[in-house]
Amino acid sequence: MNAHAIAGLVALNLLLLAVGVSILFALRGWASWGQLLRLSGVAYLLGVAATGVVWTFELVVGIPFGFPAIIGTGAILALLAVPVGYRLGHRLPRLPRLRVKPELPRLSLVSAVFAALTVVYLEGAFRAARLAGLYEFDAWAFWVPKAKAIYYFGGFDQQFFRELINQAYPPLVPVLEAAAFYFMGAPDVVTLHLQFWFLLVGFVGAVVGLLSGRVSPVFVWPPLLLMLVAPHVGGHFYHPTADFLLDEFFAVAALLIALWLIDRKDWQLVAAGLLLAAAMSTKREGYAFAASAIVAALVVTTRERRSAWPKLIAIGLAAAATTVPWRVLLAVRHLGGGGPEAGGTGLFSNLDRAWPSLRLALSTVFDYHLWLVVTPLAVVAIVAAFAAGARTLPLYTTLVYVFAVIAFTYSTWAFPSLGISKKPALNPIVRLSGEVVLLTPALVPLLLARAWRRAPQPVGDT
Amino acid sequence: MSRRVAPWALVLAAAIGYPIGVVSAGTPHFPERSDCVELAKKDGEIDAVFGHFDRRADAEARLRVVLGRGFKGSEIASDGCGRLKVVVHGIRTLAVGRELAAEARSVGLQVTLEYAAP
Repeated sequence: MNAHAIAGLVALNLLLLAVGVSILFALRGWASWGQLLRLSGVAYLLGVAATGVVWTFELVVGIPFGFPAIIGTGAILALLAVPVGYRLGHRLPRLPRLRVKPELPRLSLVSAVFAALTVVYLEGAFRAARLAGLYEFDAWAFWVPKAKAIYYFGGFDQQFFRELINQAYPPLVPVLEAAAFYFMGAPDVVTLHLQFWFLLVGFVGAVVGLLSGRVSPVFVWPPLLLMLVAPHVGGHFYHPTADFLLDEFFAVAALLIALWLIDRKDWQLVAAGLLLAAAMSTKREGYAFAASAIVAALVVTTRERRSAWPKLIAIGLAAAATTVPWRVLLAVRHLGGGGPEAGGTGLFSNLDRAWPSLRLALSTVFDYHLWLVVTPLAVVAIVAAFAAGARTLPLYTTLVYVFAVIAFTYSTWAFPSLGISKKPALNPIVRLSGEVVLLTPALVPLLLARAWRRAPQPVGDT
Repeated sequence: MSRRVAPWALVLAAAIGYPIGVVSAGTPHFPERSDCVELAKKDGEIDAVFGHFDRRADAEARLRVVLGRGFKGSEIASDGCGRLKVVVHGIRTLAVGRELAAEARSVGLQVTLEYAAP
């Protein structure tokens, strides 16, 4: 653990940000440099998603992983994205003139207080991540060993990946960790935790950037800070596993879909699709999460199905298609697809697990000692938005949450070897339920704004 | 200070103030090998340790000396931090440990009383 390793991680994340900025330029451009700054969190996550998906594809087809592949992929993505942006009519705004005194963007006192608290939290989180050891079982048992194998062997070594547990888990996180090892100069499994701090910062920036100006800061910041200080978030976000990254991708994707339901800007849907593709390449649950958001959006757009459904379905299918190469590799190598132990009709032979599984799922998402009152806040926001006469957003949010609980229930019900327990060694339900918790600061501000009888405002040309 | 600058100043103050406050209390302490040694201060599972060594040859040399001066039951054990120690296990009380340490000093050996690794 040293300054050199930290500097390496900073460089890697600047690369990911640069790729993401170019993708953002292709998708929507920006009217001002302040707007780009506001959307830099989204850009960063898009960069992580795009490079992660392409790196995974390259490894599947046998391109050796190393600095040339890491940097070359980023450069190619950027070089492809920028002309697309120009072709779509996006142009860079003028650079601010040096002689003119730059004017600070407006920041309300409420935003300032909560932003200050969030900054202090993230600084504390940096310290926690920087000093963290590799103690999480899943991290040292297979996530990080996979990353080390990619780092040392330059690819998905056939024998090594066969010997590990959970071979069929999607590889985006180990690939990202291997890239981090290259930039750190060594497989430094302590400093590696900082990479997950960068991802959390990107997530916070994305949520704030997408909502600020559109929704009152009173509705944006408190749910975000509440989520951050939840005991399970503070104690686990930096573990080098896939759970939080999956939730971060999904929450921002679900927010972009919600914004698309308001604005109908195509870039929001394409960006959501890219993040959903990354979610599916991060963990198998990504498929269920992505389906939940797409189906929820399909339900609430039933009236406009002719115009909305083709886009939603196309985005969902395109996102899922990006994972086909990995599934093909699993099939070619005769590795298990990682399906449920008792899926399909197996559920009926385990009917006695249905109710305990549902009860476990609900008690986990509402567990105060894990998540404080994040989920109750979401319920209150949904009810308030319905009471205020809104339909589309609260129904969309309700469906996403209900589908999430169904998925959590299924995850216990369809795996009879899992205990009906919140203990991480017996059941991954706590890690799964992070989806709902990270979703809350993304969607609740829109609902609260609607409940306040003020429709969320479009920002600029979003 | 203008109304536009004040909120930003607040954020900046928090961003700078917190790390300064933290670092002023000292830089982070990373565990060192010396942290593996917990000196016994009351009765418990106590080891009488005749030294910690990086190399096995050094540990074996010390063990020969210790055995030669009458401390039967001494042996080489890992200290859990990548080093070896020459040790007499199984001392239950601090009083017995102190008696053993005094006996060792009388024959020219230095002993520390440490809690046994869990």
